[in-house]
Amino acid sequence: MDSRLLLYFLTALSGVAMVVGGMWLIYKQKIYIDRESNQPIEVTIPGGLTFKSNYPALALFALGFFPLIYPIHELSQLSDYPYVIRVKLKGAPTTNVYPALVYAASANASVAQNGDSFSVKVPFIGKGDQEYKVLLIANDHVLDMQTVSRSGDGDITVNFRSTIMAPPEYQTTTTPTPPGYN
Amino acid sequence: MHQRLVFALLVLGTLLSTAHAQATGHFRGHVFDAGSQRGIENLEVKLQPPTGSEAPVLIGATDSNGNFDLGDVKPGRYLLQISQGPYLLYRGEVSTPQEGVQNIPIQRR
Repeated sequence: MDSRLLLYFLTALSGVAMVVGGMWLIYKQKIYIDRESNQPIEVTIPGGLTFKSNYPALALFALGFFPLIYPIHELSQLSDYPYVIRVKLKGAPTTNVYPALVYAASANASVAQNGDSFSVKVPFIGKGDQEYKVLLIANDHVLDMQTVSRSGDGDITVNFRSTIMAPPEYQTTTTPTPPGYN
Repeated sequence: MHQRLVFALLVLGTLLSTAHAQATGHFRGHVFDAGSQRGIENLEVKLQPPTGSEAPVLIGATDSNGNFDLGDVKPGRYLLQISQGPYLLYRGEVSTPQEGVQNIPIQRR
């Protein structure tokens, strides 16, 4: 279970408790009467504001609305903020080509022909100000690499540099990778 | 007694080195233009073991005659891929140890 849901439920529960408690206090007319004047106690604070003794119940009622409504409002937007748990990818590659870079990707999209657009959904990391390295790869060769970050609330547009390769001298193959290899 | 021990160690060492030599071998090939029969140079040759195999990925290139020779190849199945930059020209499954040289004809566009 997403721990944020638990927090939302706790917040909502506190809101319910405050609203119900406020209603109960008002229903029970839990107001404090001054024995001498037989009137509800009035407290005057600096600034000329006067509170009657049943105001705490009303304040409780009013304050309860925020923790009650806030989770309902936020829950509808929860899908926009996937719950991200950071894990470490560890390893020690063996190669005789250094320096080498290790990238980890959780999603990719293929572009079949010139002019085709792509759309890749990636986890929303941090506060949205962290950078993504986006690679354009053909046959394991990196054609271009761009570093992008979220600039507003919208999606990220990646502008790859135009890559023009000399056409191959020989016919290319489209033989699929046999099962058992990746 | 001492000479026998040295002789036994020599025999054991020879046997072990022979066994190691048999554990790996070479994978040789010839990539050529199917039309002119001339070898194609500077192509990338990649010998990839199956997923989960502990054998390394071997990468080489064809020489001026279109020949390549990859060493330290463990016996087994591999995926052989020939590329020219980002263009994949050949992909096929091969087995090692091989008999002779793998001939790979490539069609010109």
